[in-house]
Amino acid sequence: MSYYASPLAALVDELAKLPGIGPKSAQRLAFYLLKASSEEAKRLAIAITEVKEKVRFCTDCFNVSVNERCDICTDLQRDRSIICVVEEARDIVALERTGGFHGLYHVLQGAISPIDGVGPEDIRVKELLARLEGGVAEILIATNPNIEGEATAMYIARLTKPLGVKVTRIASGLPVGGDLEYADEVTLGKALEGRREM
Amino acid sequence: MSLYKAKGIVLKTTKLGEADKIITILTASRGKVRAVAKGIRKTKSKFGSRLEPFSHADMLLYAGRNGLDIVTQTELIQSFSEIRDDFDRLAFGSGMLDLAEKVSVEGDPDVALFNLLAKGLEATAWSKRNHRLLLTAFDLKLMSITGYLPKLDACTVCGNSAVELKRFSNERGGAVCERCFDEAGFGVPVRSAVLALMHELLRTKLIVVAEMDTVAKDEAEASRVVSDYVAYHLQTRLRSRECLTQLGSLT
Repeated sequence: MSYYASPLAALVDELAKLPGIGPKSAQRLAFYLLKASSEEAKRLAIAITEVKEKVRFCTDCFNVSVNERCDICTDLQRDRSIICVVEEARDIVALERTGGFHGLYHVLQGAISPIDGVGPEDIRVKELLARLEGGVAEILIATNPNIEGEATAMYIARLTKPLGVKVTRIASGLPVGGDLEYADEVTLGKALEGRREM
Repeated sequence: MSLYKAKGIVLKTTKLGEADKIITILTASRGKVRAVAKGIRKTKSKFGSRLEPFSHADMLLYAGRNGLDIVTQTELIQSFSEIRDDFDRLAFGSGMLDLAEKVSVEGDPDVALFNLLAKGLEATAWSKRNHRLLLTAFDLKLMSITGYLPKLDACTVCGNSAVELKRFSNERGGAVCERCFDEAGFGVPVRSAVLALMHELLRTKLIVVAEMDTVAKDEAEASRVVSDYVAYHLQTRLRSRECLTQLGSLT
């Protein structure tokens, strides 16, 4: 027997399916929505429906987009000779915030992970290769600096180098504001390897 | 909650929540351990790269309830960065981690398995070639310590070692002679050179396998036969092997 009225029970059930939301949090959110004004609740409902109906993947770079091609791909100001390869669309947001990259992106929608059985056919590598035919001079691989990201970077580098495209990898090293003594051996090693002249 | 120390090799990591990961570790003293590393995905995490797959680390853990412990401190013993920095080594090394993960049991220490994995990774890190052969040898040795040692020097049905062996049966667990095949229908055709290679791999140290000279055709067939044998007896899907097939054209 449910202790809630059935619409409330249905809302709790749906909220509890979200990642990181347990039954208690779901209950708290449901009661918050119950107390909130109907406008606020409607806005949330509309936002959820619209994101499902209107947002799709850009046909060029697989970033999330409202149109067939995303705002970055259609921006004529951007440098079309360099493509930055990332794992997820949210990585684009992080890179854009730096304001330091003005080229195009390519979202792989995952990373190669031999241990989990994720191979190159499961991510958007083929689509990246197809994009290289249009006069791309450099690929900047900005996958995560973990084992899956490194495996993906090495795989892409192997595939694209013979095509005469310059392949670069984002640097690894110490986080700004951190203490050297707490850095692990591998990170510190990479920081030494990638040192630059001042 | 109680604290304990353990040395182990990280087998795999799974994302958990916003910035955490569940780390699966093979230890010599406690078998397989699953533990949460809090905040590890943040760039300023104290764990850094110390708990990436392949890392051999010395850890301090809290024993948690319901089988999930918490990593509090970790120090690197060996990073095996040679494996992580080379695509072939990484792909075939992942095959070793995957298999060790499948056969290890939580709370059941298996020193032989731990030592085999450590030696397998060392040989892979050190080797310049023979990466697939090393995985085949690792598979055979692992099957042997888990009780599925295939019989390769005599017919597994009649025990006759004086005849030429040209078949291999997963079901019977080894080589089968032509007469037993005719009578009972066991086994698929496998060239005797391949069976001999498998037998040699079982008796040879992994570090020596890394430098062994083999015929490419025999090596490829041995890899296929052993992979099928492992899948048949462990009754499990080894995803890393499917991935290796996908990567086949490159590796």
